[in-house]
Amino acid sequence: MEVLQLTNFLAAAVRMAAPLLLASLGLVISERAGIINIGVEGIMLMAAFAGYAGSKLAGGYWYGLMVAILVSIAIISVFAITTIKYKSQQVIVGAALNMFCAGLSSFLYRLIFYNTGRFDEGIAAASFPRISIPVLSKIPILGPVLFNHNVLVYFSFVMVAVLWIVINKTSLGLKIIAAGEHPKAADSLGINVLHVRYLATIFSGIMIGIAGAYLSIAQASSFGEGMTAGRGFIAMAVVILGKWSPIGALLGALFFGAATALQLLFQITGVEVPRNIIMMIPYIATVVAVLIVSRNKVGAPSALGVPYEKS
Amino acid sequence: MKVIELNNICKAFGDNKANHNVCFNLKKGEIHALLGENGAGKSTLMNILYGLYSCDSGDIVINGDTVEVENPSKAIEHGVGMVHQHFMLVPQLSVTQNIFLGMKETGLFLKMDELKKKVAELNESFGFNVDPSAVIWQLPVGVQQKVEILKALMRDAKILILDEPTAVLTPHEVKELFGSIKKLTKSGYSIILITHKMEEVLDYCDRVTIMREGQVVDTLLVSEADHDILAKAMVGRDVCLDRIIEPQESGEVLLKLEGVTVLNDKKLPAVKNLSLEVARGEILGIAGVDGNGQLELGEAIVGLRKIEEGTMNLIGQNTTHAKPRTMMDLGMAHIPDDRHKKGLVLDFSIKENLILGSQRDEIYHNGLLMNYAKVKEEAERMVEEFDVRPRNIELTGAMLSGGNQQKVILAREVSRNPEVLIALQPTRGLDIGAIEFVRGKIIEERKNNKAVLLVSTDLDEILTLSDRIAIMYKGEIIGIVPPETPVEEIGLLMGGIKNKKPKGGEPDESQV
Amino acid sequence: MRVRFKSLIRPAIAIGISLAIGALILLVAGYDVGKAFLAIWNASFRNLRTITTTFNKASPLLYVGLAVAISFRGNVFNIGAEGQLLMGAVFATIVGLYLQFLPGFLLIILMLLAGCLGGALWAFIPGYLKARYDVSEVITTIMFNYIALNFIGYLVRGPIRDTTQAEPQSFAIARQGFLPSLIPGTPLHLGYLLGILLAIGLFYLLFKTYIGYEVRAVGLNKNAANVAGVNVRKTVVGTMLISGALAGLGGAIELANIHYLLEGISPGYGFTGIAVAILANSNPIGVIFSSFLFGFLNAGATSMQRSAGVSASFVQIFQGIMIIAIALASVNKTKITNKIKKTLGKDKNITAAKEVE
Repeated sequence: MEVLQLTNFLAAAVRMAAPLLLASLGLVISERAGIINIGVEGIMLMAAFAGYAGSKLAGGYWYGLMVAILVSIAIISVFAITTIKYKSQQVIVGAALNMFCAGLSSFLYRLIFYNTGRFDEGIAAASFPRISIPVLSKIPILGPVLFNHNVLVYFSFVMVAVLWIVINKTSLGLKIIAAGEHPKAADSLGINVLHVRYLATIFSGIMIGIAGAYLSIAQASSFGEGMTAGRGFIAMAVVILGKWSPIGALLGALFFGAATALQLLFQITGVEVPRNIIMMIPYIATVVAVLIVSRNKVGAPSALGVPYEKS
Repeated sequence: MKVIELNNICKAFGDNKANHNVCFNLKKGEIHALLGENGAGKSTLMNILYGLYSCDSGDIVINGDTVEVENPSKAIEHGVGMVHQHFMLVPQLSVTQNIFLGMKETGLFLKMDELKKKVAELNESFGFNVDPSAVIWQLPVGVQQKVEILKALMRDAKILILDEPTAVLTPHEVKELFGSIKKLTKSGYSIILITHKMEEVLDYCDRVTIMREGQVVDTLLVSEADHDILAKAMVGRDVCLDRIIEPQESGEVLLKLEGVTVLNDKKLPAVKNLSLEVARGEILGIAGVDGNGQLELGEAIVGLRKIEEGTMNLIGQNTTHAKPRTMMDLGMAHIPDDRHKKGLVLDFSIKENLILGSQRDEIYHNGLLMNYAKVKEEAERMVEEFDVRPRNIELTGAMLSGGNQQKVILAREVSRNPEVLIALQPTRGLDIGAIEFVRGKIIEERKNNKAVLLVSTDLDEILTLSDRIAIMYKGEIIGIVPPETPVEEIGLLMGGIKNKKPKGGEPDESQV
Repeated sequence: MRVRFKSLIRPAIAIGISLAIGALILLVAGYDVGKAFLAIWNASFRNLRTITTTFNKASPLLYVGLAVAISFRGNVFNIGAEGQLLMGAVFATIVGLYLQFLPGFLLIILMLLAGCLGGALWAFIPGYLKARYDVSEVITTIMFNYIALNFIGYLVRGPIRDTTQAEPQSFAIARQGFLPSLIPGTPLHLGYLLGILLAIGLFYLLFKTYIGYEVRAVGLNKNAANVAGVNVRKTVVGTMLISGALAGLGGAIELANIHYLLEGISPGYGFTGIAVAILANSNPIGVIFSSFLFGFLNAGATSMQRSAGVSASFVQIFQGIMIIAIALASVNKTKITNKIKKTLGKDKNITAAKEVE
């Protein structure tokens, strides 16, 4: 029983970590290029809705994923244009998008799924099934923890490696780093800093879109208003904790996944702690984590949050 | 053969004609100096050639073809490379990564071993000695500059623009740099050297073009020029580099540092076991090449940087661990080294800027409420006295020219009637009129029997103003000399060479 | 208090643009736009009762708007006014529940002070972490919102739950702690008047005292302020304390207005506060007006839902668009400064500093 409980806990931790990882991998790239986007929370929420709506209305989770990505790209483009081209304050525009997306997702959810009577058809949408990887999933403990998940979890693992290579081994990675550390130097070498930043932000939009879809049509099969519940913000903390590296993001996401999965562990073991108190854990952990990292301030891109203006 | 011809270049910023009908040419294999004061338009001209600015009118001819240089990529394509005064290197990346940053030839996936080999080869052919794997922020500035040159060479630049390359170098490094440049010209490279130092022109260059107020004054062969001709052309009148202060007895010591050690931002010792004294009625000038701990020393004295070891006394009080507020209350005034970042709140009005630091003074408030009528009255007086133009105290700090911004800071600090004035790089980047004004005010403070500590990397400034000159090298005061000391000797001290008899055990300033 | 007509142009444009986009969204969604907007208008301006209801709705927005405004002036991004408001409500609830024996005016005063304390405490921690350890206040204040929300969830489900109610909520506070009406029989309460007075007070604090001078100096250039002897850390923490106390006070007043604590006590007032502050250009006097505008929208939201069937969350969409519109409208600030430089440039001494070299 003990082993089974541990296995369940760890598997849940990985499940909870996946959306954080997906979003934070996107943010690693955009922050490395110098963009700080607190709108991630709202965009993820909108993507969760879009994923649900796409899956429900088109009748397939792949459609849902596509719709989520497209919607996410559309919204993050607004962020990108206002902050990169028009150099508005990134935190302000991000906060505005959070409001906008919270409103729009609930507005559309009610418009489409409340008013038309579709609600009676049952709220569940088609969602990504669990795929056990042959052989590997049979390994004791490790098998169920790592190799018995839906495809988006595997995708997030793969992206850790892909992005590590992009950042450390490619000329594109150098451009991204230069855009975030010393945009003027990049510019003087003929690199279009604004293009690099657009590209990085749009890429983060794709990843945030997938993370949102994960919440509604992989981890669950329905949408709930405000269902991200701060996960987008926690993904930002994951980036800080992971010191702006993909592998760090993986570790950070697993840490927060575990903090969230504690809830499950408490339920299984029958420990009597009020639900709301347990639900505070990831948020408190975030504060503690960013505090610890701030003591050793290496890694934050020098031009993070600073619009680039040609003189 | 002329590799570059710039014909009738004009460029205006607002009503300020930065370049007006400028003509310039560069011959293959020559070192051509572009000489002028700050603000003469040299950098603007070169930024146009390099594609960072676009010109309003005029042509650029490179290797006989008239070309449009819309951006730096275009300049690089035409074989023009530029080494900026403020290095354009990404500190977190390695030498090799910086050199190949943005080069299309690398392809998407970087073969680091191959790239490093290429850097090593280039190193060898020009006698540079740069470790291709080293990370930039760990390298001394002299080496970083070589990386900048390698960057241009790797991009097949045959024409190199060097913007004030010696500002951050020791005399020894300067010699080395020009050695490398001579080598380059022998292999067919052509060099444009932007500078305001006449010695560099006379010692190392082939031709010189002198600019003043956005226009070319003259272009001549260096062999036909001398110090006086250049100086006259540059400033537009006879310059006197004579000392402008009258001899004066100094009084009691007001500021005293003993065995002070201070760390820099990287937590490495920037000031080591340093002692100095500044007395009433004297100006102590701190000379040295940029980056030898002068800035950290200045910040420690005004209370902005922690003193790790040693003690500081200000007017008989122990102020080793005092905050800026305490230092100000004890009678210290401070002209910071960076007007925009540390001196002014650019979005505040001139009026508000003039009371920054004095906002809690009795005269400016009744209880909690500010007395803005009094603030206005005082501000108007200061603007008049310090000739801040325009006289409108409601304009924001950002709307003033650099010289007038500095006058606002000076007015604010001197009006506090301090006993000790700490001036860090007080005239950097100012036009000649403002420089004279600021220097005049510093001399006035001395005449009023105040103690002045002047930190400047401009040796001329130190020589003209100081009663005593302390030379800083690698965080230590390597010598304190009277201003009559031959410049050559001070130059040697700035390079760490003491009286030609090296101290036992002290290594030469060879590269790390 | 000079009202500069020009300073009103930017918010007016932003409101216009967001109205247009909002109308477009409703149109696309198939609603009767005219009916919806009329419903919003009528919800506020039908009679005395609806107007006073609008003031009632604007009250918490006035407080959080002021809270966010002062933090923005000090360049602190307090995204946590929501959590500070919630903690203010919690502290006020506890006083209102456990000090029932006190006479009315004393209980109310203590509740309001407790609210200030709760909000200030909740802002102090992120403020201190920012000042002392340079921890981004954006992340920490957001996290504190969630912690506060869950704390209320815990309280109203556990220790102070009124078990006679189906939904989780606290017992009602003592009767004498209810906020008195300004105009008897209407929902316009004393707290709104206090908010107006505080707005004026905050205006004086920011622009007429040396404390406000230091807050603004730190906000615009903390390096220069530090060099000039201003204690930057203290100022940042102080700014957060004032900001948190204002938001907490708003929470306490809201609590005294609705009489019991529940999870949904704030439908995101703290976030609307960001919109309120930005629309007012972080000017406390402006906040009086912008908070009324958003109170008007909130009041209209429910009536729009009732009579035109438009979900009340439409208001959030509208707020988001409005902030972005204002952010875009203020983009050209630097360009405008440059233009001023250019026109003044005839005087040879005024040239942009960077243009010298």
